[in-house]
Amino acid sequence: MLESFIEKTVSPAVVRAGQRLAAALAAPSLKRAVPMLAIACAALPLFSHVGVLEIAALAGVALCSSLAVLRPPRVAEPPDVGGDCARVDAASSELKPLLESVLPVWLRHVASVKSQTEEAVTQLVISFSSINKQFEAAGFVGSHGGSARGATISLLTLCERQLSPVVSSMSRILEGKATLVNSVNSLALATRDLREMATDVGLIAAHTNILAINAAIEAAHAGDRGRGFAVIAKEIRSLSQTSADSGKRIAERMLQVEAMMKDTVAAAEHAAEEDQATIDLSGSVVQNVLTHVRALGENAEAMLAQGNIIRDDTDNLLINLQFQDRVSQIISVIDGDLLRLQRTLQAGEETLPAPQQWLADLEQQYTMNDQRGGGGTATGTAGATTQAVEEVEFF
Amino acid sequence: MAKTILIVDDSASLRAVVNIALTGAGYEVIEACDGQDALNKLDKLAGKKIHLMISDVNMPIMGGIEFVTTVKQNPVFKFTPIVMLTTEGQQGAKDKGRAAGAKAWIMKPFNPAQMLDAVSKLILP
Repeated sequence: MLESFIEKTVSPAVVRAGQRLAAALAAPSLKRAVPMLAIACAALPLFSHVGVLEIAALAGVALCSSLAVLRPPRVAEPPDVGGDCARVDAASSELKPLLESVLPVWLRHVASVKSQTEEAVTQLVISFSSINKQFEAAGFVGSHGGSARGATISLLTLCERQLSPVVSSMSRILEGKATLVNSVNSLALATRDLREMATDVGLIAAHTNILAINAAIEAAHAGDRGRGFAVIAKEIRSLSQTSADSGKRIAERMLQVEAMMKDTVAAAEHAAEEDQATIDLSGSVVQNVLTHVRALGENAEAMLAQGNIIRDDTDNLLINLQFQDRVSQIISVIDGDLLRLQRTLQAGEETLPAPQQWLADLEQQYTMNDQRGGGGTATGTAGATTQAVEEVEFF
Repeated sequence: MAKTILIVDDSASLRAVVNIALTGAGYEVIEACDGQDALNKLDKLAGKKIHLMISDVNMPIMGGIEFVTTVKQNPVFKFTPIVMLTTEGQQGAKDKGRAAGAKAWIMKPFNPAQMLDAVSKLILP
């Protein structure tokens, strides 16, 4: 009303000038000075030398300045803002049908992703489980098992236990044979002594014979009185001859025995050498076998260790493949939220829920801590899919 | 005679992991894809002894907590031990599971050996 009053009472040129000045004065830095300026203008008629028109113009400026302070100036909004708003409105009105068309497609694709990953991961689980069973059947029980390792060690121990006594037994047999050879050698020495004693018997018989001959000569010198003594001398001579023959036979026989003993000892020594060679060879073979068994055992251990590493890896794969369930749950939440958006649009309400409210509702659907961003906000990331295995909690 | 375990999980891959581990340990396994499916199967298997149940928590149609609450109302399964196997780690959810009658809470991802150990400790004779 005041504005129309000014327009009616002041010339248009003055009004335009006043509006430009008001716009300038509407600048925040000058707004505080405007009331003071209005008061100054009001005091202008007190100056007698100023003309009436100029006073009226200044009064109009003062009034317009006051208007500029009391209400937002028309120049505050850029002239093209109305156009942008119109475009936003148009985009909003086009967004709704676009989302209504696109959302079912997104939902279908999300469902397809969920279904395909679940099918593929299930197949992977079955395949890796089958591999694990094969490993188990082959004795690879993973790093926590130890039966196969025990089996290898048992085989080695069994070989050592069974083969080592064989060599020991053969050595004992050889020692027994050496004792026998020593006995035979001693016997041979005794036989030689006996042969020498038989020779001594022969020598005694010879001396006795000589004595008997001398006795016979002396008996002949004695004449008839020595006839009896001559008979005795003859008998002694005959006995000495017999003794000499026996001593000779004993010596010959002992010589034969000695020769046989020598042959026996030679044969026994030869046999002992052969036995020693056999024992040495057997010991070497046994040691060879044990070395091979030990090497085989070590290879088996290495193979077992490698197999167990692979087994552990497949076990871990079966744990890590459970990511699919986590992914599926995250997708389910997105799926549900897309469906919620679709239904909201279909409901045709003029205003959509506030973003914070929407996110709060979304957060209610979370089932995992990593969806919540470790206890954070609805805008938290899904987090890593690799999770540490937690202990079982018993109630 | 093999003991029977019911697995309730909407994830086919998880059911496969659990099934393979349990059958490998000599158990007989029945699978259900949600709480309602499990209740239907228990109805059909009337008379068959279920020695233990393993259930997920977050499932469509009927969730794990509701399933445990419902199944525990049936006198036949009142003493059947139930193990929750889930990605849900909120203490509130665990408290609900315990209140419903669950005996253990296993977080996914899980180690099949740990699960078998828990099963052997809880399963009915």
